[in-house]
Amino acid sequence: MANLLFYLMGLGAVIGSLLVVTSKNPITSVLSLLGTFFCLATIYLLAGFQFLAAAQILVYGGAIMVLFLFVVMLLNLGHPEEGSGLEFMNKRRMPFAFAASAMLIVLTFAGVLGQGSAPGAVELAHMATIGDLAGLMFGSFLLPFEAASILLMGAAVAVIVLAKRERTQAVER
Amino acid sequence: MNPYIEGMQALAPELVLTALALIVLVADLLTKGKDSRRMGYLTLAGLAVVGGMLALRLGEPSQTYFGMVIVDSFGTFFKLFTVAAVAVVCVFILSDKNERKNGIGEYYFLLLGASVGIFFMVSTNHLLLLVLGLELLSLASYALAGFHKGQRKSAEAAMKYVVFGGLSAGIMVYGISLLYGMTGTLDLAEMATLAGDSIPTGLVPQLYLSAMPVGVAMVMILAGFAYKMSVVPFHFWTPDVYEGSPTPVTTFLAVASKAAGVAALLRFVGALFPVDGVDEIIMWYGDRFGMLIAVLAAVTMTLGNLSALRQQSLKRMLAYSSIAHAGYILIGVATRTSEGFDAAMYYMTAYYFMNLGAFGVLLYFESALGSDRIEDMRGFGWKSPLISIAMVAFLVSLTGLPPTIGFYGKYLLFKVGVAEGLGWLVIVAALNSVVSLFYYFSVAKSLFLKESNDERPALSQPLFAGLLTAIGVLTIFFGLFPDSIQELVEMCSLLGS
Repeated sequence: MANLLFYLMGLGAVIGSLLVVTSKNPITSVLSLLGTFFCLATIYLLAGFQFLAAAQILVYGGAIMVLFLFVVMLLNLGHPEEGSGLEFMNKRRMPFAFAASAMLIVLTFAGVLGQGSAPGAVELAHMATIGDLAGLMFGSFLLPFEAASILLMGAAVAVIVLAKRERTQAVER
Repeated sequence: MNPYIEGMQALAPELVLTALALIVLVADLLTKGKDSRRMGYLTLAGLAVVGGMLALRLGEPSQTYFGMVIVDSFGTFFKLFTVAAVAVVCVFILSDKNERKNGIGEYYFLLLGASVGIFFMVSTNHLLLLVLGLELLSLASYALAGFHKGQRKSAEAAMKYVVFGGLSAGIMVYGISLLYGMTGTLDLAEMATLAGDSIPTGLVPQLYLSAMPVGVAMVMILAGFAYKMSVVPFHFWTPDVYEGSPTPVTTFLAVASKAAGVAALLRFVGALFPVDGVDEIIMWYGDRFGMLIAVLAAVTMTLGNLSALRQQSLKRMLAYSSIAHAGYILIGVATRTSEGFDAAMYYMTAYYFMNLGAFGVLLYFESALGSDRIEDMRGFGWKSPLISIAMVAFLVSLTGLPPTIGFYGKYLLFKVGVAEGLGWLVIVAALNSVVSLFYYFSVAKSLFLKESNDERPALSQPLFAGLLTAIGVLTIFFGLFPDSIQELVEMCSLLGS
């Protein structure tokens, strides 16, 4: 039962992420992303990470998705103009992109299937609780946790620098 | 003592640097950007403090804090390197005529934030912290590349950098996750041991089971390092990003950011695949890994040099030249010996002097001429002789000719390469140096051997000219007397002697 659910959710996640990158309509992309997040959350739950699953739904599925939807609708990105210079799906370059992706997939399969044992995949003795998570986060992983906070602050400043409107300088072309 | 307080003391330089970044950010808001130069002086003063703290630590025995940060001389060497490079970049910003005056606080904040990322990158054996440091460096660099956002080229540079950086980081993290799945740890030191209490962890049992998945993971992780060092085939972003970014930012990317990649790669290879490995299979596998790096080195230096030949713009030429130099440095990495690593560190020091100098001269020409085309610089050597003579010293050093620091650096790399059986690679590198002679000297020829038809007088920037001359003098001085840097490098050696 659990195995079946895992494969179903895995399939759902793959289809969802394919839809995100291939669909023309941004709203479809955003909603497919939501589906992908839901499938991932279920996989986390199957692996025994309650808190991670809940956080995935609340933070990604809830807050961030709503933000994305608002941005897409406010900016009215519904109909991309032709010849806007932002055509990443260029027909001529598609074979190269396809070849690169195919190579990555082959490598991945070679990597995963050729693997004898996976000590990293530890069987959990019980469902991981918030307490376990906090113990790790403020114990052995305290430093990466703090480093991540510096990273987020740097990212926030970087985004504001790029997004802020210039008041004094005219935009030159 | 409380281990956390002890750890905080060990991480004091990182903490001071982070605090400095925040102080600059807030101070700029409080003074409302009235005098943008003041922020530059504040940053320089703070960097001097951090540099002093680091210099006092040189030679101390290595210790690990929080189970993942290693405070050792190797890390301190690269941290000092970063601080010194960022300090010079700050002077560049102060003397850059095109630098915008508002938002200068964010400029310094992002530079310092990127340095904090480098600090974490160079002082950890833990892959999680490595990725966090790398991301901090990358995110700050993206914004810095696009700092002149009114200009199309700068915006393009930022966009390309984000796409390439995101892709490479993604590949690297994926490789790390594979490696974690196989070995059950993110700590390189733990991965390399033969240990394995009940369940077999570590690289050795995995290699005995099947070498293929480990190879896939290793190649993917190598992609992340290659991107930071701009090694072929992850170099495509380099020319466009270097060209589009503001020149002080280009200098930062070419010197500090590349050094961070080199240091992290040295730690990675040194921890997993040293030439005298713990086990037969590790040594067998390490040979293959070293050969892969050697092939990458050969391709990188050849492609970088051949592309540099065609460049009209000095900035683009220096970008391709920095790709070629990444190839030379990889010779030292490919040997996987203590001597090879030392030679790579020595070459980084040489790279520091000659590239800071060359980019500084480029900045000067951009201010004086409003152009970075080599053709536009003709006859300029007679107008501002001091800077132009310094430029010739940098070019000689970049080519690797005596009596400069670049010559001695290349000599060390070639010597260790031949000693470790990479003779073919050394021959490729020597041929490449001959090729590089052509394009480096086209600049010198343009400066001194051609008539100028430009009536504009030279810029008078005594402080900036003094700095460049000093770097030029040091480039030659350390070429004649290489011992002091050699001693420093040996003291900071990663694998120990």
